[in-house]
Amino acid sequence: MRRARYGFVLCEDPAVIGRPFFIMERLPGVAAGHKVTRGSDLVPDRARLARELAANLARLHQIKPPHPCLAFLKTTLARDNIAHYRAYLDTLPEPHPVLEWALRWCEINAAAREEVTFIHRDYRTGNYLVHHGHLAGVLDWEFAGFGNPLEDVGWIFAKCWRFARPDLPVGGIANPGDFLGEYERVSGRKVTERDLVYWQVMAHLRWAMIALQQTERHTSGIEPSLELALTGRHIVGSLEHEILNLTRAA
Amino acid sequence: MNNRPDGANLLAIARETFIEQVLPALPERLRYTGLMIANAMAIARREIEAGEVPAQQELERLQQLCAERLQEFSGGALYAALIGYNRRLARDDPRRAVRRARTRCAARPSDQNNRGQARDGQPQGAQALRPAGCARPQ
Repeated sequence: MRRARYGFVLCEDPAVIGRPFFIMERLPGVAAGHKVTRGSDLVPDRARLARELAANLARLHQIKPPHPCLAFLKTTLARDNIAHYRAYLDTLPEPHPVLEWALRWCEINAAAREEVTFIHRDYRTGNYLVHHGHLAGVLDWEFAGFGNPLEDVGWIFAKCWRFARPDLPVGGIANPGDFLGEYERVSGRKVTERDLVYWQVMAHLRWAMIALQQTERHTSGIEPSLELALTGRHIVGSLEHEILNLTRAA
Repeated sequence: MNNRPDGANLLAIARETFIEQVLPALPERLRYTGLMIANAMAIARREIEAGEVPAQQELERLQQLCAERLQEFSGGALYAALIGYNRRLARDDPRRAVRRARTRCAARPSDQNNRGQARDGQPQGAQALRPAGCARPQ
């Protein structure tokens, strides 16, 4: 299994460098989303990379609660996400009817029962390393928890994470068949078209919430920042547009 | 009056100058910042040039959606009308909105510990959206 970077040390003493820090294993490769999705020199065989991503994700999803080492993780399923995001929207001064629409759509279309496994919750282009055209490592585990494995599938398919190649549904890398075939083979879990649409809507909702929060940090004066300001102008509108596209046919 | 060239024109020439003369001279680590500056200037210029037209278009569509007769607004009244319609679509109770506004003014969080900048779209620092119990990103 391609590894997460192995963490050797967590130091919480601020006297060392001024803040807590990790010392971790260094893995080779390129993570940057635009580079990975743009260059054929970095990724000569996109279908193969997609299969590696799928197989790794499927193996992650084999971890199920309860797990002795992971008791500190919370479980959040679709309805928890919906409630969480709705509560967040309620704290904002301005209305967001498209996001409210998406939340209601997710509520109405939620599965009656959801499988619960370990999920990465930020498994996407930009958060894995590519080295010699292969998957070399998976990064940024701070959002991990227990939840619906389909949430991870929706996230890597989401349009917002395709960087230079919005036409390639799987992380700007490959077509759905390259990923789903391998994911289903390794996990034994079937992903339907309906699942894909639902969890892409959820992915766009989640990223919209985060983008709104980042924008708020700028406009409130907590953290004036050009990057956060541009997040507000660019991202929420395009997410809402994609949400409307995704929910139109359903 | 001394407003020629106007704001939009000023932004356009400033951006052009920045891209041609400053951006190429920036060290690599500032290139992303430079591109964001150019991007922000383009957005601001387009906004000035568009004036109220996009808001008017949105208002017309919202009025049609809410099956109301087309009413004209401009300036502050236009934006107030847009907020009103969007709030109605979002099923937002105006009384709750007033309570929220009061709460926000009274309690600006001094959230200096939670610095989280987006880079490459990373959803960092999203404390309000973390499931309870997850470790804070450092």
